Amino acid sequence: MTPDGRSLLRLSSVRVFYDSVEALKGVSLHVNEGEIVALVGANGAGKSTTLNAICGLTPVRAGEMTLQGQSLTGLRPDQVVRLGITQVPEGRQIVGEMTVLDNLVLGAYLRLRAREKAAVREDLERILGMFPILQERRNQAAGNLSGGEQQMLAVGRALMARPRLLLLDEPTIGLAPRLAHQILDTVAGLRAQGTTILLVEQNVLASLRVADRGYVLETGRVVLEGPSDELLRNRDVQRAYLGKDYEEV
Amino acid sequence: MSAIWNPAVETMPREELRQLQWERLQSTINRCYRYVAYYGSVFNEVGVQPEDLQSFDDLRRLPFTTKQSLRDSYPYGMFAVPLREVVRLQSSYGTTGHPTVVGYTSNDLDHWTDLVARSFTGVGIGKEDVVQIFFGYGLFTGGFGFHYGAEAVGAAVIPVSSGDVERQLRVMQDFRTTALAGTPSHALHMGRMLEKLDLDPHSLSVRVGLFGAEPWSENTREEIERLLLLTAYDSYGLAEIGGPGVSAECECRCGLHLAEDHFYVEVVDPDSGEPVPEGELGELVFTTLTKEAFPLLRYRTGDVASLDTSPCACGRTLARMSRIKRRTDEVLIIQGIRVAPDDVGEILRAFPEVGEAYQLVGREEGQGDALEVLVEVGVIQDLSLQSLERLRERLEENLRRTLGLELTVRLVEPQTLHGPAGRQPRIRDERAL
Repeated sequence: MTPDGRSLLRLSSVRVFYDSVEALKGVSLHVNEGEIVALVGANGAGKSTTLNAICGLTPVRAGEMTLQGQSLTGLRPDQVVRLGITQVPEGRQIVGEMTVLDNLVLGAYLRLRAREKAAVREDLERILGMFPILQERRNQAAGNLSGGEQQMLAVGRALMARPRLLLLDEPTIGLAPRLAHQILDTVAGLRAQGTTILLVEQNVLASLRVADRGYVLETGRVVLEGPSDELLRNRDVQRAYLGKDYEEV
Repeated sequence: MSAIWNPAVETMPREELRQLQWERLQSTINRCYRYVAYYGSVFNEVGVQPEDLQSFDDLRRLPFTTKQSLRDSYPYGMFAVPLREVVRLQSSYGTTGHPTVVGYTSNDLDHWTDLVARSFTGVGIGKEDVVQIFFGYGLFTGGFGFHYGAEAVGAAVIPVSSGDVERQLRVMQDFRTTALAGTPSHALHMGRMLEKLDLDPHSLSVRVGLFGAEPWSENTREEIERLLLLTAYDSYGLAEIGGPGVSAECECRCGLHLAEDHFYVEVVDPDSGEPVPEGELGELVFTTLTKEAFPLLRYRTGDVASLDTSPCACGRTLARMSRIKRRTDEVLIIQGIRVAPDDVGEILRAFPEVGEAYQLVGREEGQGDALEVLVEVGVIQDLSLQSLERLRERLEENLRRTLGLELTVRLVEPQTLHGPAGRQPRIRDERAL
């Protein structure tokens, strides 16, 4: 919770339509400062749509979205970024031709324009410290990094904006299990540094293990919410998303 | 002032709580709609989809859930999870035709324990205490509900269960009980028995009592406190929405703090069903917010009370409800068990020798509250004393078995239960609770 006793992010009955198809049928959730909150659910449940609605990438038909009491509804993506929300999109979208270092600096472009050069340099060192592999390859073209390394770069770049809220969309998609593990360890480490994260992950088990709380989406509706340990014990969640069958659960 | 068991929610800013309630209400509505056939058809009947409900006020577009709907879906018709996910079953009471079976998943049980732990902590009961639980253990929710809550706060728990007042007193003395949990009527009987046996209440170590499961008055509270030399607190819960722990007094004794993070409560005019302004008396209507196995939307309790959301000196932000002032329907609450005359009538109808009229009489006896059922005799060929006594015994046996409650039956002559102004009320409560 923020000092004034409110959640950092709050969604109330958010509805999103793609043409006539209702993708979000009134989604409500909140993220408190310093929390990691996971959005889980099957493909098409509305997880990425929720993130895109928050970022201003997808128009919202009804409902309320606020960041510390300030309305996000109807804002353009760049306005949302200025308020302190940074998304790491699915598929990373790093600039392959640029070096690792330049990609990271790119993440702080708003701050550079605000003449926070010294602070940006400090953050750069801190983030390179967090990801030794990026430090090692700081002068290589980002396109030459492996998938896992690119993902780390994408997260590192997002952190360079010093976001109040980091939105992570499927950070482990397409990664080998060991790398996926590493990425989620990094996410867990970010919490220790006070970063607030809304995490969308196909790997339900892994994401609930790093998250404090979670929301389970089904066809655009939240059907369950609660602390991660409770969700992990819910057998619906186990069956539907952990791939366990009836005999195992 | 005592500690607070779960400060994160018990002292949460109300605006924050509203958001939490709304998120949980939505997910409960979505689960009820998807997984409970009864609610699916209710939504269809009133032409509402879950996404049409976009505010707390919109919830009123759904009809109330009544005791009758629960009876019609006996035993598992309104469960939202398959039985294999249920780890506990309890029941409101055991008539063959009409009980309500309540299921719990392991998350539901954890929540229940947490709720009762809040109640105990709020009245200063903790790990230093020896808690004597004299709610009945078994199908009813009182015994087990209070039991696990007391264990959670670290108290030493004596699961003595209900019954025999003298035995309760002996345990209280020998085990050096410091805290009681049970029905107020039973506590009152213990106090009176103590007086009758001329035992010194100062010889007991008991200092606090958490009572509930039946309506009681300030007078009864004072009487219990005087006789047993303890501080008595009120608590509230009902089996249909999970049992005890729904609300309990804090040490301020200015209302019972409702677990609003688990229940959304409406107070409505019992006749019109419309909401009454805050502070006015009305029927409590509960919507569960976290139940996995047995969620209920807008369940009418029949209990009349008022609500107060103003801040409490204890620091809790959860709304406070008044004592239960009365019932909207005919129910005699005896030993914490709600007995409806209709249920008794249904059992009696199976006996052709029995007439139309009957009456449930609640009274105080040495060993506790007692239920006597007066039954008018109908048309009988064999009026011998022997056959009447046999009938009486059969009725008694049948009612005991199906209600799960000690009681006596007295046969009365035809027309006895009819006064000049027509039939007498089906309930007569002679207790001074």
